[in-house]
Amino acid sequence: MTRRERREAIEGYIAILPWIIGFIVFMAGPILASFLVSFCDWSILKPARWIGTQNYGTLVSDPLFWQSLKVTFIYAIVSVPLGLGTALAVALLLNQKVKGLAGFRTIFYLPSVMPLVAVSLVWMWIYNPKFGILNFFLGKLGISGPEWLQSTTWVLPALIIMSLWGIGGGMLIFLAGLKNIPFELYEAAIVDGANSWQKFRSITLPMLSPTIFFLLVMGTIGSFQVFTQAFVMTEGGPLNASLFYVLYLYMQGFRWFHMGYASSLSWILTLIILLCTLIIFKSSAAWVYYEAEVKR
Amino acid sequence: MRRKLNKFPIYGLLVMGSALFLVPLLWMISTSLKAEGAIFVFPPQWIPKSLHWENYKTALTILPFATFFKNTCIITFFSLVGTLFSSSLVAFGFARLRFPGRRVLFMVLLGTMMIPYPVTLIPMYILFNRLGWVDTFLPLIVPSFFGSAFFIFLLRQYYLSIPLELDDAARIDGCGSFQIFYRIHLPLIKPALITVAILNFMGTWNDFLGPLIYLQSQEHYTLALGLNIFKGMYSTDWNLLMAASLVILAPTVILFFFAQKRIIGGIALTGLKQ
Amino acid sequence: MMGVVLFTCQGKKPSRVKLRYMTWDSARGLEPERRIIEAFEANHPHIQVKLEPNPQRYEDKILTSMAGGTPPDVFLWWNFPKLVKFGGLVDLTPYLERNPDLSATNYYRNILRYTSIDGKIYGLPKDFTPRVIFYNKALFDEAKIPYPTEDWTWDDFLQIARKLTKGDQYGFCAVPSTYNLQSWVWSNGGDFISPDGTKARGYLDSPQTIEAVKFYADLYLKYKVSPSPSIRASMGGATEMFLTGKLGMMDNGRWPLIRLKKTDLRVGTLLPPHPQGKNLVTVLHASGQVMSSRCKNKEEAWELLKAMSDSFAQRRRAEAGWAIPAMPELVNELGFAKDPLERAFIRAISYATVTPCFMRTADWEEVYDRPISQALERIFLLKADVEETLIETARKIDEKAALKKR
Repeated sequence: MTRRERREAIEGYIAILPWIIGFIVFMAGPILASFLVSFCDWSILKPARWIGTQNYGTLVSDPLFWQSLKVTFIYAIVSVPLGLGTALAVALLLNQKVKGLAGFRTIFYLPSVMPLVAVSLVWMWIYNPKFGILNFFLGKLGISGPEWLQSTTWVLPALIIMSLWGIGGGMLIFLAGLKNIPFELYEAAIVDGANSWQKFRSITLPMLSPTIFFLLVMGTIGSFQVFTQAFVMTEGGPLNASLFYVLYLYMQGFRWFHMGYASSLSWILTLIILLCTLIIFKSSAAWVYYEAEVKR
Repeated sequence: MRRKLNKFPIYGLLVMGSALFLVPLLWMISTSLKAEGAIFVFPPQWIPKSLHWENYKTALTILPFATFFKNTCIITFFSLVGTLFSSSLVAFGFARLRFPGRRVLFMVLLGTMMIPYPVTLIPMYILFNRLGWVDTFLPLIVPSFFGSAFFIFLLRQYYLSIPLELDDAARIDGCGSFQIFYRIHLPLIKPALITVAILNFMGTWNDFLGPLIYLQSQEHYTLALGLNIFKGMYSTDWNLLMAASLVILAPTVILFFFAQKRIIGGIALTGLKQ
Repeated sequence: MMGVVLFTCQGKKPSRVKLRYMTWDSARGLEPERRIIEAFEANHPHIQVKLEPNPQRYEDKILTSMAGGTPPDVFLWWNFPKLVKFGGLVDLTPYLERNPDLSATNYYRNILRYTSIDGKIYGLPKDFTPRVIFYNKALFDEAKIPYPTEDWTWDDFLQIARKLTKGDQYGFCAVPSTYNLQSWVWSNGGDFISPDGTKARGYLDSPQTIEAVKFYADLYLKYKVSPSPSIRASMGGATEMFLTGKLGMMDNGRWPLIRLKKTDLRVGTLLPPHPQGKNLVTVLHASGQVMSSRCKNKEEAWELLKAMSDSFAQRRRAEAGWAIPAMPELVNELGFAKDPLERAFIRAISYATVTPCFMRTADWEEVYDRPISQALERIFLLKADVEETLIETARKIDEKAALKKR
């Protein structure tokens, strides 16, 4: 290395030093620590006690662990595709050279900038079984609305429906992605006599697949970490029907101060998310097209 | 003629969708202006019979929302400063300076974006408790001085779009790397910095879990936390709850209106360069 | 004379001792506390007290400050087993014994049950409230029901509730809360767990407990005199329903009384009913002033503790309307037993003869309360069979408790 190169290297390390320190102190360190703590029994008032894999054993036989996993999975499997589909649909509509695009776009994105606590409150009020407007509208359609947040069957659907209010971010990313699709492709398709559905299936979807992939990964990771809505609206009830995984983790760690057990829960979550991400990544070879491949 | 007809269903769907999206907001406003006795009525009244603007004053004074506002501002401001400073510097390092392991470290940085936050939650809490920082603003501010992966990534993209010739010219003039950073790059990426500032502001303003865990005394609460406490204490006063909620979400909404293009540009950028 | 003065001046000059006192009182409830502290500081010029009100997340704050090594010196507390298990509290019995002006006998014995463990007093009572029945006199008049008397039975109660239930109005609000249900279960001769707090089997699944829980749940499930949990939530809870005249009777502590006095509702309070032929047992909510074992100035802290719970303090709070004194003498002096609404609360004290479940074991919340609460919720929400559910729950609890002991 020349002297200049060495100087630049040193400068480079200095420049990224804040991140390096942050990474060690706030990322790598805690991750390692939580791994170690997960093998301990630690309840904040007593010193930590090494108990080997006992936490993981307890976890496996803990019905609330499985329940929270089930709740989180169901939410993820339903809300992510539903959200993506909705975001895409809205983006497609907005991509049609409509007047007032900016206005519509604003309306759809607005809820995403609101604090989740406020959003949760408004939806709690909307879902009120007797006086909320949702059941009122359903009543007008002749349907007797369910008890929503008080019903073990309907509390998850309620939260999933609420999540659709926040598709603004995905919509924006889809819009950007749609704009990136070269118009020549569509022209060629029209010449070939393709109709709208064929155009969508053969051009739009494949060209959007990297975007879909990105949103799928981010959405899945996000949906596994839902917390605020459950905490504010239902506290995991009724009867643990909305006991999201991170909510349960929070309760174990910060309500009952079972730090060791909560750490083991956090590690299982990390592994599950990693696994899901890996599955999505692996599957992407089959359905994600990158521009370089298409332009062959 | 055919073109115009074809657009009808599209407009129809858009209008319906927008209406659905706006209804909760409108309902919030409507409820916030109702008198106490007008909340629990069936069928629900859309337009309140009498407008009770004093609900806003009541809601914001029952709990010390002014203090919550001050606290939130303090945390948001310092977090902003920390993020802007550290993220721009680190992004510069990754974008412009060559050092061994740069690619690997950047991959690591990208990887950290996918780590679920719960896994660092407990050790960080224990660390901060040992330091005596629990129930202060420090745990919410200090980490932002060490860069945020997402913003570093975003800013690096912008740096990459600055022509290398500018750097070279500056070096010939005798500038060191950090002078290049300070004199040339920073001014050029101002738009990106503003985007980062806005997104960071919204993120911190709306943050709930952080304050929930680290802030225990009421006089340290943020707006989000205060709203939750409010809900616990006055769970049936929906008019007051809606009023408070509207006031709390107003800043981010107003900011959004003024800075739409920047925000949307920033969001769009994250989706593109994969 | 000069010599004496010089001598005392040369003696140990007391340096200012700083004590921290923490409480969950807030706003107007804090006023009497401030006054008590001011009076204390005036009487003890070498002690300075920092009042730290923490109305939110109080338990969190205390626990984390204990873990961090900086708990307050004296504070308000209720969950005694948790802190006593970790040696966080000072046993106050020896202090009381060698103190001439204050002794355990100054307080109601049944209230001390809520602040003592294994006979050792860890907290001096500050606040307490028994749970009694509030009833809406106007609704009674309307349905032409005579006001109930102290000796009323569960059957009387049920009959009245049925007469009061029509349309939007309910006779009573049954809430599946383990704490409230304790008194119903105890009155029937049952219990949730063993007196030493270790077993659920034999108690949670005893015929008496099952009978009591069934009676209570049937108020909602069978007789429909109580609103569904969803309606209760929609209307904002039992107290709201009562205040808006939609509820004939409710079971509550003293807190709504202040709000009630501001409305023009004609209300009465009464001891809860008891099963025919059995003795009434009531349940209280109580809290006490405690001293942290980490306190460095225990003598001064004891002085403060005394000052926060002696008759002067109790009188201050009572006069401000916030609480009933925990001292029989004061209660008589201030005429609480004669007041038509406060009477029931005073009467309820003497029936609080059972130590509450949460005081019997530090594991109550996690090992016993959670599963029992869930069992109650299943009974109320999913209409599960009471007997089966309680037997099953008792079995599971004991299994888990056995694992924990390993």
